[in-house]
Amino acid sequence: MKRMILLGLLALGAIMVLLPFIWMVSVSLKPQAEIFTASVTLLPRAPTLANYWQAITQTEIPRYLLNGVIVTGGILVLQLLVSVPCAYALAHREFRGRGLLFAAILAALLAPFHVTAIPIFLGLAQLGWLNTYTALILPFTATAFGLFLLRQAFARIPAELIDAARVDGMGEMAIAWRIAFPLAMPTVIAFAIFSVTAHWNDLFWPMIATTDPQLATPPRGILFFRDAESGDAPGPLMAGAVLVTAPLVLAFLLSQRRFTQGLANTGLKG
Amino acid sequence: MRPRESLTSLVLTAPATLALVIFVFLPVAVVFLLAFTNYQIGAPGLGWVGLDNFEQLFGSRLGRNALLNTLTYVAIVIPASVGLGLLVALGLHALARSMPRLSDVLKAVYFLPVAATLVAMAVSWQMLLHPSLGLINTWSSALGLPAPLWLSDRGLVLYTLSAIGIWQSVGYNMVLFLAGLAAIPPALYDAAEVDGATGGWSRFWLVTWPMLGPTTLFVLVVTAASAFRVFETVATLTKGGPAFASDTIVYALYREGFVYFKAGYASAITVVFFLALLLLTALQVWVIERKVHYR
Amino acid sequence: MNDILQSAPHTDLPALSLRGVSKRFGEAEVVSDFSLDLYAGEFVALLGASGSGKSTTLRMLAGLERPSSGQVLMGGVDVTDLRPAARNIALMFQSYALYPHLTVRQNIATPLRQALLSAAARLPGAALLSAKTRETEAAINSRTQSVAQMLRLDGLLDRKPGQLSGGQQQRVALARALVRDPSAFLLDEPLSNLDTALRHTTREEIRDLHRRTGHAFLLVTHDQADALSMADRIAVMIAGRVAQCAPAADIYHRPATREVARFIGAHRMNIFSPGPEAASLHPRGAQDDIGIRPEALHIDPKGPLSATLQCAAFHGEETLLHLRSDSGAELLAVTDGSAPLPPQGSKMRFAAPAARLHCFDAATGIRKEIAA
Repeated sequence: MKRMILLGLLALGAIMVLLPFIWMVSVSLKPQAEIFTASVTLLPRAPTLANYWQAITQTEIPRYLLNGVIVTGGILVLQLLVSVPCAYALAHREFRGRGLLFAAILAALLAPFHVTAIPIFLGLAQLGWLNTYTALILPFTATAFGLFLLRQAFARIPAELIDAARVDGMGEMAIAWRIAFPLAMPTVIAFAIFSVTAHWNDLFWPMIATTDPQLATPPRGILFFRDAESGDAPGPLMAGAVLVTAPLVLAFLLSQRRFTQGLANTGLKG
Repeated sequence: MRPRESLTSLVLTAPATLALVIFVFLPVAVVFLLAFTNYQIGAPGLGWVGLDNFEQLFGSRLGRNALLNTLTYVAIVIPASVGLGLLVALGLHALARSMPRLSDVLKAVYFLPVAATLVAMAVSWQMLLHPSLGLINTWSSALGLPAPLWLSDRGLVLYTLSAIGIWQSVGYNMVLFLAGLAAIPPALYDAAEVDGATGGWSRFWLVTWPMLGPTTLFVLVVTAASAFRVFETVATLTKGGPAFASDTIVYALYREGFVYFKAGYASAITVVFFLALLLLTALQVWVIERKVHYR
Repeated sequence: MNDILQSAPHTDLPALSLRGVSKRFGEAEVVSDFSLDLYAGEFVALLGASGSGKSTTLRMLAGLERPSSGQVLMGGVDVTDLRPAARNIALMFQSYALYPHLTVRQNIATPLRQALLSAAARLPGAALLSAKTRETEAAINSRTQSVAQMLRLDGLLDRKPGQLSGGQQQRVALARALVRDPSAFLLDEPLSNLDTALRHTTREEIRDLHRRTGHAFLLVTHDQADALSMADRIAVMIAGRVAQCAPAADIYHRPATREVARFIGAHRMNIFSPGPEAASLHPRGAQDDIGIRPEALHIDPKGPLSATLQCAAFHGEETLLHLRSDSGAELLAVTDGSAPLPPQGSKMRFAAPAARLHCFDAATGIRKEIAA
């Protein structure tokens, strides 16, 4: 009995959590006439894929998705290129200023991106780089969080292993990429999930750095779309919302454990 | 040998160090300086205005309104999201013993909003709360309940946004609490049982709650930090309106800086926002040192 | 001070007993038809390898696990359905299971507070409102003090468990178990987290505690040295059943089954399957298993047993000889560490006194008494 009450409450909560998802998919499958009706229903009576067809062929949604891939991919590659060697050096090398650098990373962890937005915007404007992919990607090269996470992971690799590689004649850059990087793969994946999720979903910086719809990332694009259709085409809008949300949600459902780790154990959102 | 070693270290660390300086430390320094100027984006020059920007933020009705709205939002979202997260985690933890599969499915459901694109979900919420086409008001009319204007009623809009904020963050807190629950040694519950803490309630107070102490503190701080940053839902659903009823600190920062190009004033807002976050972190460190680590 | 720690008057009924108790987890039967009596003032050890079901048995005694069938009795009263706290049994956990957020004083007082104070009275500050609560608190406090004093914890009462050494934590766990004046005291591997030096002193302390309190003690352990050195009686548990329950010396000298014989003893007993070799040691060896402990074998050029020396391991006071008998069986013998030894591969002969031979039924493994 007690268990049934518990189960009932948990299921009720789950339904409330799911409601916007169900509604989003449902409206995206409804024909126009069914949306603009006095008798609104949760599920579509005559489901159709027409809205998806419209969203893909007649709107910029595919463009937004492509931009999302370019921007999140570009950010992740740059972050790793810059962070892996540095994190390796912090974990396995002695050099002057190491303590200072690590302290600087911890300090940088305290500053969310919002704090640095105005000066970075001014700098990019000075260089004439606003409204470019560069503006969307470059500022996120510096990732105190990635550096910290990778350093902790590299520090768990036994020093003897690194020394063995040195004895075998490998250079330091090669050790960082061919020994440390693969060995820390679980952390790298967790960080990748965190980074891609954060930047795919980000709205703040794309709203600041770009005004050109051709450069819009998925969330920014959805807003462009919504403001353009101004309430006339909720079906295609919802189809677009589904298409924007689907990649991450599907990835999450396919590898829940990694995803939860990547987003939760990191302890920093957005 | 030595100089070469140093050179290697420099090659390895320089790009990241440079990136940190250019994109974190320098901008933070600049923002603190700009906060004391009247700089307008695009203007040829700027003047030192001392604390004027801060006076405007704390002194004007609009500035105080944004701060107060943010605090209200935070004050609603923190207890609700942390409390619900704890309840759901306790429920799923108990359910996992008898129905592990179902418990895992529910866990995924609760976590879904964390992984989903918030802006897209906000657009769905907008449809859901639509006065005439939305499901919520259709249902509440059918039940004979009032059908309010969730997003355009000045007295209601902040609470609607808070509810969406709670919806979005409960799953995240739940996952953290589940991890905390899994880390409690089962022997402690046995000990509590032998010591006479037999009811669920006394077991909770003797073992579960104190053992979750560090987790709870962490969850509180993380939730507070993310609630302070609320932006996506405001930008998507209300643009701070109607009549600034849902204006928040980060949205005000965006509007003043990048819509009205008042870089100096926006920098002052940034500084206040940053200091509030630092205060929160300091509080966390202080409490952890003092209380929660049981040493 | 000791008066508060004296248990209930001794009666003829066992303080604690299990009657035909079984425990199944799904398909697997972990404990089968287990019976054991524990009398007041007695110290019994439950000795078994890991997975033998001894921990499950302990949890059923404490009330943390409900038997699938059978009864748990205390002083003749059926307590099978009673919760742990209602049984008034003390249990000391292997990991100590101290509450990390409570001080030593609060840890020790927890069982008393749970039993004597209502949920409302346990709230902080409740003592300010009610004189009765104040009185109870005072009684709990003095009781806690005296138990702490007995276990030399007086100076540590305001520390948290995380600030204590392993040995100190162990004593806090003992104190928390003792504070209620339990009618039986269960210890789950109490020494397994201590280093060797501390183990020896702690064994003495636990024995001493047993003598002073007069409670029934039940020790669960996988370590025969712990069991042999502390307990009056040892119940050897093999595959969920009590294979033998007897005083330590009996278990060693007259093991009830072949399994017990193999399990007990610093070195594994040699067992000869029925055959000419076994018969050469004792006539019963023609149809029964014959067992000889390695320490009972001695080198004797005229002895009946012939074997090849495979290797000799020098251990100081003794030397372990690994041998292969003429019939191909692996044998172990222990000799004086100073004895001269032939080179590896040499033939040696051994003899054993008839009184130290053991005879087991070849099929059932049950001990058969043989005349000296």
